[in-house]
Amino acid sequence: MVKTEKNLRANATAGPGAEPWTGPAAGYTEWQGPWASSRRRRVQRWRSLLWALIYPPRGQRIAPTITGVLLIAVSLGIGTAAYNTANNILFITLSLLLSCLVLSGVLSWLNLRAVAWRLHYAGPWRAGQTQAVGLELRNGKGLLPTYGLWFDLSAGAGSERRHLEMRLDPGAGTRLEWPVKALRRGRLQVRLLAVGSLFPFGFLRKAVASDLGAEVLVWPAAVEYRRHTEGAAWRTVRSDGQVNRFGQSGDLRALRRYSPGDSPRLVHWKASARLRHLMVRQFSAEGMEGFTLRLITDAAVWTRPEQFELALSFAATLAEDLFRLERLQGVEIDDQPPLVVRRLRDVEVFLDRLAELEPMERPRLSAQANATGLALRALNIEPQGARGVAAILDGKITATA
Amino acid sequence: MEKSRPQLSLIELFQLRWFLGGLIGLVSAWTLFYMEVDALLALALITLAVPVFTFWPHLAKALPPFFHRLAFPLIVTIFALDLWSNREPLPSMIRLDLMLLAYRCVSPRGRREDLQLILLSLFLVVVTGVFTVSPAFVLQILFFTGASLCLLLAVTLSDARAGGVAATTAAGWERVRWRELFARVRTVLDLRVVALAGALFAGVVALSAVLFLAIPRVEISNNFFLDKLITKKSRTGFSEDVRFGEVVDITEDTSMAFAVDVSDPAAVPSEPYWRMVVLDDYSGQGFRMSLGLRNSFRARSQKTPVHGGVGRSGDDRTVWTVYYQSGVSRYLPLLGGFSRLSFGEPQGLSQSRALRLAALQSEPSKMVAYRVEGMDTDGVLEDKRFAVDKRVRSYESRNRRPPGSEEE
Repeated sequence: MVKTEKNLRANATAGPGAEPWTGPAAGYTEWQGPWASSRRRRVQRWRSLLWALIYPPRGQRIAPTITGVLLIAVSLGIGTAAYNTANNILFITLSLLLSCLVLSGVLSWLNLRAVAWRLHYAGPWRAGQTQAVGLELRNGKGLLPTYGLWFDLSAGAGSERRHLEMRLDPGAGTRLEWPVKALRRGRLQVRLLAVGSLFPFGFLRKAVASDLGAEVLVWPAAVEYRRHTEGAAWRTVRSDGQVNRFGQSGDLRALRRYSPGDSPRLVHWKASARLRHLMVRQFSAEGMEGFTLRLITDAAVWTRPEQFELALSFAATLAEDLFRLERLQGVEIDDQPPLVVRRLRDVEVFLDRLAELEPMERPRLSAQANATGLALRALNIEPQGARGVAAILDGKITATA
Repeated sequence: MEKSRPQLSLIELFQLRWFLGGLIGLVSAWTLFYMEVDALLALALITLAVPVFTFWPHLAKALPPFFHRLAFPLIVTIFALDLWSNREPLPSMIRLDLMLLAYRCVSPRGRREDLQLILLSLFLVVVTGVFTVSPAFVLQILFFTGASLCLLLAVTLSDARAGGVAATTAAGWERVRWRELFARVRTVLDLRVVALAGALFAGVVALSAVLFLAIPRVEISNNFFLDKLITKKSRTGFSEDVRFGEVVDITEDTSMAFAVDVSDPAAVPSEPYWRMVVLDDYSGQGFRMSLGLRNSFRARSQKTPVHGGVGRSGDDRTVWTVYYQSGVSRYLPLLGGFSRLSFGEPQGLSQSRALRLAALQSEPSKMVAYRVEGMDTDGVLEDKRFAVDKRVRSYESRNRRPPGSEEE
């Protein structure tokens, strides 16, 4: 009964997909570790257990530390002295030293037994910004706690070792935060390389190799840009006043639960405090003139890589800002099919495309723009000077970065 | 809802390490009370200083920097003077160990210093056990093992609490309230885990017993094939073939060959003549034992601990205990014939009763001790043909040497 309650409590705190034998949840990798694999095997046979002790699975390494080497050297010295003198006292000492090594190995194995881990890598990932990767741990043992684990994590070229500083009680779970700063846009490998421990006496360094990881898309970095009002391109053209759909600039219509991507400025703090979860305000949308953001990645135009990177960051920032203002109706990149923007997910798809975009030789322009019903007012991203970029609307510069 | 147990902080772990280190150092030093080593001053200092510094750790933090700078040179100087004046390596090393242990117990310790303390303590416990062969050694080594494992566990946990780096110190650890610390340790411990740890330690002791019985006792000289591949070269002169070129090595070898303990010192002749090997054949490059003389040795078919011979009988109850070093020769040093020669373990012995010589099957790889009873000490072999013309004066009538043991 107690165990059931404990499990329920653990599930409640860890959320969906929290059990190590379940499949991965969104934004999470699958569970890995001795507990997860043993539950998948269903039956832990003594024969396989003994065989695993004699012939450890691939990736498991046990290496002596300096302390362990010292202990082995002392054992060898005492053993040599014991054989030279045939002294039983020395044989007793040698036996105790060897037994301590065996005990160290057994406790090290017990420490890692029934432990499972997974990564939580949910975004959004943006170049130049720090994103927290969560490493969730579960101790499935019934009696013994787990101590002193370390985790070798890598993101791209950088790697870091995180330590479990506190005790992980039996049946309990915990989460280690790993701040990762993505340096550039593109695909980023977030991986857990190995899990290890010096527990219990520091004689042996036990490490379990891991191939747990995920590939995340890093969006272009946000940049500061300047709007130019002289072209009057940003003017708000009201059609019939406010329209009957949700937006972000009209009157307050309702409250809804916070979802990732919502602006913190929309959080309704009083309602959040009352309901104990984040609530955001929903406004009615205003009828405004929209734009289509268009980016041509012609390598002949974008000759400087840093300028191209700036253009992508500018496009990403502009797209988010226009969406927030309810003025982004579509996006268009080269010859790819134009994308009608109706919700936040559409903007994220656009940012995903920007994350992997490279200059193309002679890209063809899309012929479907008119057919999709996009607004005719296209906001083109073009180079300005040697380093800058500009958003051009109707032949006029509306913003620069 | 189950309340989670608290955990020891880094400071509390350091305080626990300090306590365990002091305890291990003190107990291992006290094992020397069983030994006849002149280290009473160092023992008294440790007995006084270690408990004081252990219970008031701020004293360790208050030690001036020059104390730490001077400690090692001072200890080495004292050790060198001790060794030079007494010329006894082992007692000097034990006193050196005591000084180092005392310094480690009273100065602040990190991970490395804790490991040094354990090693120094292990040396004392093992040396005491080897030389006293006391049953108390079992208790001492078990206590030492348990306490050392607890200390190593505390070191590992404190390193983990410090974020994986070797924690050298924790701010404020010296301000300790022992009663509160032990109460906190009691709340942190899960009795079921403690019981399991006790069972595991019992398993370690059981495994040690099994290993102690299972470890093969190999006689290296008899079983290792390398021994037969190594070219033998005489360093002592007591081999069956001595060449002229080896004389320099023989004269340079001044190490002890054997020691003798006599039950009745009055039985030691004033000029003892020890017989070992007879080289009666000149080979052109040196001297060797002739084939005829070799064939005169008679060996028993099986190894036994006791061997009989032709020696004195009757009321001579003198017992000669010989401690024969390894690497000297396979021929045993004897004063003459004997009535009974006994070893600690079964040995194959071949004897030439005509020359009153005895030899083991091979040169011993470790020290061999044997007792000789009824040994002739006159140093003369009576030759029947020679005796027809002359009467040989018995050496027993010569002046006896003052009592004491003999060394060659």
